[in-house]
Amino acid sequence: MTDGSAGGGQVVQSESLLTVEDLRTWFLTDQGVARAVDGVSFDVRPQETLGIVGESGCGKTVTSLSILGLLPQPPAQIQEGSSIRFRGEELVGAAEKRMRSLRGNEISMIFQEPMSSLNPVYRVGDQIGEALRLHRGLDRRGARAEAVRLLTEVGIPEPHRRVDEYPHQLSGGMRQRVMIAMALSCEPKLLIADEPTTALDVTIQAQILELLASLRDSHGMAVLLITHDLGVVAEVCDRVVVMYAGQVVETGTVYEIFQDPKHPYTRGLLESLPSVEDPGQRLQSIPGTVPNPIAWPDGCRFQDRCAVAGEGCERAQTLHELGPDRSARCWRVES
Amino acid sequence: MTPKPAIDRSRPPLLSVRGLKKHFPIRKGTFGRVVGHVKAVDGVDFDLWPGETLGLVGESGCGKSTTGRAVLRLLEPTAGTVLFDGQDVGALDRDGLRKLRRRAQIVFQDPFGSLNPRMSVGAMLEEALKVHGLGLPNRRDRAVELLERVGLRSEHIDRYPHEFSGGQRQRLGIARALSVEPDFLVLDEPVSALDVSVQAQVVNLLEDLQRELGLTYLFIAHDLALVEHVSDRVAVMYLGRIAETAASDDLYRDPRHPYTHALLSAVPRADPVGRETRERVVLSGDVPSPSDPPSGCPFHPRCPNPRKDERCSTVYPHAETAGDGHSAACHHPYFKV
Repeated sequence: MTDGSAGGGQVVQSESLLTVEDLRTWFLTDQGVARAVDGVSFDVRPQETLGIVGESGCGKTVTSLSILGLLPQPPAQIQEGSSIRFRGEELVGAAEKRMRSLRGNEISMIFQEPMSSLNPVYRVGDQIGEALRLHRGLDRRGARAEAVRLLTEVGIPEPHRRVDEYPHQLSGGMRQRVMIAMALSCEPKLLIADEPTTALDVTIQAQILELLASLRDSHGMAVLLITHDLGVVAEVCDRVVVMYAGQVVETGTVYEIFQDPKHPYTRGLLESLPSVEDPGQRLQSIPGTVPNPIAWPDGCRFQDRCAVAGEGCERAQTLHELGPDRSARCWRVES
Repeated sequence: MTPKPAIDRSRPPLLSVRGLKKHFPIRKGTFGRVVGHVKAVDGVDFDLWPGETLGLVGESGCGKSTTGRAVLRLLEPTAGTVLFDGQDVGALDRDGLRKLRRRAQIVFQDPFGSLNPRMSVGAMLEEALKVHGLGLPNRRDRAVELLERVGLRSEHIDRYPHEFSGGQRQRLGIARALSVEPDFLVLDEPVSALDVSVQAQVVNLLEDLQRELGLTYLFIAHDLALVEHVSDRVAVMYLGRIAETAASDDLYRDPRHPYTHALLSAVPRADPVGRETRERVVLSGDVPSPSDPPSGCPFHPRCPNPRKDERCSTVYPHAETAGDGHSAACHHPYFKV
């Protein structure tokens, strides 16, 4: 593979919990083939927090849904040559039965809008209990007791009362805590969190991020955090994958990405943030908008919006290795 | 680029709001008996001078959007007075309100929800002009001028809202608000629905327009870093009241209300350095319901202030303005030593 990215094939297999290699998830639409995820590679190691960051339409959510096998095929198509390995086991093409035994068990997920991911007609306790009874074989009473314990662990006050409530009786932050309790119920090795705090206010966001970090440490799980919010990434991630137009454009440790961004897109994103320390400066914006996945631009997909585009950018860009876990998809980094 | 001119506070304010309240009835039963009120806005005071941007921040449900709408009488206030250029907005009749809306406009958060999907851009802008009898002799020329003003192109005039991206739609919303040549805009979360790279484009546009046209903004948002960036002064709202008001850099450097302090410390910084040791106040619990706000200071049940006492749960702390124009509605405000 010419396009091996951060770690990808380089990393010793045993070190990696999840390895995604050349993932290409395309959608067949009336207008044509949308190449939503187009050759994405990264790996997640035990107990780390890896952030995937990008703007709407960059393919970050489709990546996470592909890992979980939650995309209906068709219209989605995971292309030949794509590989997603969880603890060495290939998940692309795995039987649905196998995926069901992994999901909610060894790999868990939480989503942006907890209200739409919780069933409104079941009590919170029954919803948490479902996974416990399914994956851990607990009986009704055991599941309820365990649900109360989990609600306590995620910091819900009065868990004995809350366990019998319905989702609409809870606030947004509480609902997200319930989602986290459900996700934790089977001691997952990997938690995929897709925009877990986007719908929440900042003070509640701070509570949830703190909870996720402490649970990651106490349970020894890895977190794959998908977000558009660079502030959240800087607060909680160990390593970062920046996506643009269906591709990985830069990888690095959180310090490398924020202090020494190599790709013009990453630089542009960071510069477009208003800074608390330095207000009054005019914001640097990235001109234009994200291109359409049905017709990604030829050559570098960022060139139309890039501040330093020029000769050389008309070629399709490959990901240049800059060091361990460090890469950027821009020919300029070579020099 | 010319810098923004200084704000002359010796002049009378353009907008002056006193004791503004907006309560929504909670109805129950067959006959719609009123069983309580959601006190969305519960006594808000502020002034806004010509050319100034006042940022109104707070978490969801704090009443910031309701305040913006009540000021323009898009919602009928329950109590309080709003003076716009010396004129009592509450006393205006239909005709008076139409005249007000030539001078005071609003831009909404969701640019798709606020644009008619079946109207072309040209028709939409021309209608706004027609309602107010403006734009003659040629309204289409004026519409093109407005599009160019907000960074769109003349050929966009015959397109429909769905043909535009989110950022472009927000530019359309701004063009429509500008069509009547207003002095004052309420900007209600104008960039919250946009990606960061596009947010910056729209924020820069708003700042350019303010400078070129001398506009006054009430900028409503939940993003504190953004509000600091665009505002001259900032008012922080909590449960229908203003907790703290200050010049933007003062507020961020020296927050005096414990809520502001907690809110600022909760904002994630796009800088991982020192994140392990950064001082963070994580508030416990959720915002109480505005239908049954706590007695005394509405923030007291969640307040982490060690000096919190009896008085906090019984007496509402009216904001006192210190000599520097910085006011906090707190019995025991923090002061930098």
